[in-house]
Amino acid sequence: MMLPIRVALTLAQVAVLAGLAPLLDNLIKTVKARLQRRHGPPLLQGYRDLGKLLIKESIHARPTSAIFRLAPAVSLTTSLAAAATFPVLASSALAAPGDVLTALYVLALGRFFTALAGLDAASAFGGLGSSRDVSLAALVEPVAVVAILVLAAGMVTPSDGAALAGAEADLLAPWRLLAAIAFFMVILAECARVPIDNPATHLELTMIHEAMLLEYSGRELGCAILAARIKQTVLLAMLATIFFPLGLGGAATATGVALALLALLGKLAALAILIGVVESVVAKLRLFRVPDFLGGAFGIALLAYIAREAL
Amino acid sequence: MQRALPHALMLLVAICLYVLSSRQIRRAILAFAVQSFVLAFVSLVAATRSEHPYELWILAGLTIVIKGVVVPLALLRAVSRLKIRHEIEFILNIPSSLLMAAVATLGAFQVAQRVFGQEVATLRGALGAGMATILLGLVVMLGRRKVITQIVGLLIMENGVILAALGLTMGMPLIVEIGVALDVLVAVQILALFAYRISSDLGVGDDAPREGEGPP
Amino acid sequence: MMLALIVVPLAVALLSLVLPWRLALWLNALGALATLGLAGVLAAGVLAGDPPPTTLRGYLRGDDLGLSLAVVVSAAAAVAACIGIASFSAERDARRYTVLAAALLWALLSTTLADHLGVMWITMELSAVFGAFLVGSRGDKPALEAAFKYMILGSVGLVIGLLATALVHRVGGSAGLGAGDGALSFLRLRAAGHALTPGPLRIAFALAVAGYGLKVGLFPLHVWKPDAYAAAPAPVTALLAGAAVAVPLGAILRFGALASAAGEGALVSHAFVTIGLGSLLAATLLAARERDFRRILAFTSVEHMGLILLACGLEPDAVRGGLLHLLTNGTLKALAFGLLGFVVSARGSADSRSGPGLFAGSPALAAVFLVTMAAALGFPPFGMFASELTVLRALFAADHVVVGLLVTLVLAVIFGVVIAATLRVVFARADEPVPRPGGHRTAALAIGVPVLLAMVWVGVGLPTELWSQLGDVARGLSP
Repeated sequence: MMLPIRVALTLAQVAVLAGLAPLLDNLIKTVKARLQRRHGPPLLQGYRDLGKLLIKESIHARPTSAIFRLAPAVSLTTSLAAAATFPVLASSALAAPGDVLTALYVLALGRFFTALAGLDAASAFGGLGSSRDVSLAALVEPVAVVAILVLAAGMVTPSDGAALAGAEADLLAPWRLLAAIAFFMVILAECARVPIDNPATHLELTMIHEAMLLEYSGRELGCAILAARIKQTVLLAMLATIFFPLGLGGAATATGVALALLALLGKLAALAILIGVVESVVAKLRLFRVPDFLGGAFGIALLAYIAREAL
Repeated sequence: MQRALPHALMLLVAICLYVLSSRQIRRAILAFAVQSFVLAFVSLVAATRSEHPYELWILAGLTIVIKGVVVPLALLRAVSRLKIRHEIEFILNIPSSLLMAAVATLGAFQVAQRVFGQEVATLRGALGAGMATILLGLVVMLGRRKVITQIVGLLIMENGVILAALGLTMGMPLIVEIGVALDVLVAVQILALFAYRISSDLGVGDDAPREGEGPP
Repeated sequence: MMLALIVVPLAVALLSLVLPWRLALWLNALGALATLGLAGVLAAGVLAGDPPPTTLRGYLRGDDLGLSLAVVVSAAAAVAACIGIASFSAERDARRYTVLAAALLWALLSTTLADHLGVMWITMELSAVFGAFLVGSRGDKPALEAAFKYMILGSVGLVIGLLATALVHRVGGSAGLGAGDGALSFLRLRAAGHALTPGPLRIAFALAVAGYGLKVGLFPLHVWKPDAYAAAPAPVTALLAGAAVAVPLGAILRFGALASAAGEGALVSHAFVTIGLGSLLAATLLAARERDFRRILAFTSVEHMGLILLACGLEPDAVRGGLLHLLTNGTLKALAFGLLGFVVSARGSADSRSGPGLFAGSPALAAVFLVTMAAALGFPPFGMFASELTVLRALFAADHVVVGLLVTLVLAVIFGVVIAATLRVVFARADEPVPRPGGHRTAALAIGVPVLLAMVWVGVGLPTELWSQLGDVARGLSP
């Protein structure tokens, strides 16, 4: 395929994922609200909130250094970069070589800077959030890697186009389901969703992700929030296309891309509803029980490996 | 039905992990009941491939009635009579018991494949899943302190043996299966009785007979 | 006649439900003696070369090992049942004891005689059920906890044993014995010999040793034993320590025989010797720490089971000694635990380091107890001396010098531990209070003297013919 088309498709993919990010988060909120018999925010409220934040000026606490100012930009950049590392619209249409593992570690760079920024303002809650977030990351990583490696067995890279296209035969194989469940649990932890963290909380003591952003305001807060939203969308899209590559065409024909886009939207909406339901049904775990949750996720990922090898 | 076999096997093992990571006795008992139903399903799958399907139908029926319904109900009754609040006491904490479980599961499937890999598998993967279930049941027994949880661990081990036997030979002779099922029933009733009498001997503050006091 | 062996204890159990309880106690003893007679006659016949009797469509088959074990079991059960006559004074306890003890004997005999490995498993689980009720029969918290421990650990062992059985079923099926009962018949499996695939059979053997070893109480799977033996009433402990432990040991020997038949003799030998030696050593160290005489004796039970297993992993001469030791140890352990019950009730305490001396209050009981303990420690001219000597001689004759020396050392140490405790119990210091006279003088004499005389006969008067026949059994079992 021609390089310009690949570049164009990759940029389109990034644009789609970034553009969908506020909407997707809003959808989760709506689902939760409906389950609580509320109306919830209007569908475009996410864009309005971000827009309002992005035109406001940022105020910095006195002890902060350059890292504090740099961190939102870094995490936004890494989120956008991660959106370009695996195929979403057509399986053989990436401008640069990359795969899902790259995406995970690019996102980890963003998390590193966010954690540094949380420490930088020298407030108690920021440090608390940073330390929690980093220890969470250490627990999440093995689960994510094992789940992806199970998927990658037999592929050149985890996002190898041909292998993905051929995966439709065993779309519901037990190993695929188990790996997907484990990865879904990873997403819940990575995106600060309910059993691990509560995105809607106002109690600083229970926060993990929000605690790191407490000192931000205005444009930088908007950047940081947008980065988190994009990261969430990227991870969900990863689950939707890499674990269940249904509707992902091989070549970048117009109909193929349109079909893939449609499938992506459908799958993302389904996942958003699922997350909304999970957040409504499950209670948040105490921090000390988070290892139990991720231990279970690790067990499931390992079971996926066994299922792939032995069944 | 055939295509769901791998899913059922994985579900059997996953239920063990759920029991290992749950803190409430009632949930563990319910998980065991679900596991018994899945096991019955696996024996029905085996029946479609066996020369003596009737034996496996009977096995499935026994599994559902005894281990899916009667035994869980007896255990739930014991739990409410024992007035156990909800918490399971741990000897091993959840992450480390899950880690042990992971190692045990990998080992079980390895052994199953090493020893029986060359021969024609009768029910692919059932032996490995069965051995994994046995080991995970053992981890439940070793890692928990409450008597009822230990009984659940024992029952899970027992399910694992039945599953392994399905994987090895499409089940054991009927007389053995029936005997095993009845023995399990009796053993659990006795264990629950002992558990009840041990804890009522503790007599936390009151000597008055409690409602529904059964044994003399 | 085979069927009668099974029916008699079952009938006793059922009759005990309705008969007056004193009569039921006597009937229990008579029934156990009758099974001893029947088992003895059948065993003598089979050892002399008769074809093994079968019954119940071949599910039960009295081969030489099975009938020898039946003799061991019923001898110990007879001693225990006689002790039982003198031990109970309340109707409820006595009735519970007679019904359950007869039922336990029935389950144990069925297990030893089962040719079908699945049936063997089922009856062994049944014996665990009856045993658990017997252990818990005192009804207080330690007894119930011991019973729970006995039951749940036993069940774990049996679950592992069931897996071993399933593996053997597969192996038998692959060797052309069909998918049904034939692939679990000990006779047919053993005849298949080298047609059995060794890999799975090795695993089955290891699982059987672990699972049934838990029922035997081999180190390190002995943890239920001291608790159960200390918590149960004396006649129950006598039955468990004398009869019930021999049965799972027999199951282990059967799995060992299968593995040996498939050409895995070296593995069987190694496993038996290692585990046996481990049990011997560990039991000695653990016994030295105990004060409760019942717990000390429980550890000697672990020790002797280890010795028997060790002997069964070696040359035929040693196996012969092991088989004889099974009989002498079973009978004398039953007598020792039974008399210990009288001793405890006479002294009012089972503590071996304090409490009154027995001799001052009940000299007759003290004398019988002392002689029994001496016999159970391997003094000549009792049977235990002969069996231990046979094992040791076989060890040295076959150049297992290190093992032989270790065994001798362990036997010497345990001798010291037990004899010190016995002497302390019998002859306390002068300043200790003297227990009230009386006790179970008549019962102790009436039961102890004939049993001890029988043991003397086993020790010095065993017919050469029987001795060489026992050698044939041993040759069949030796790995």
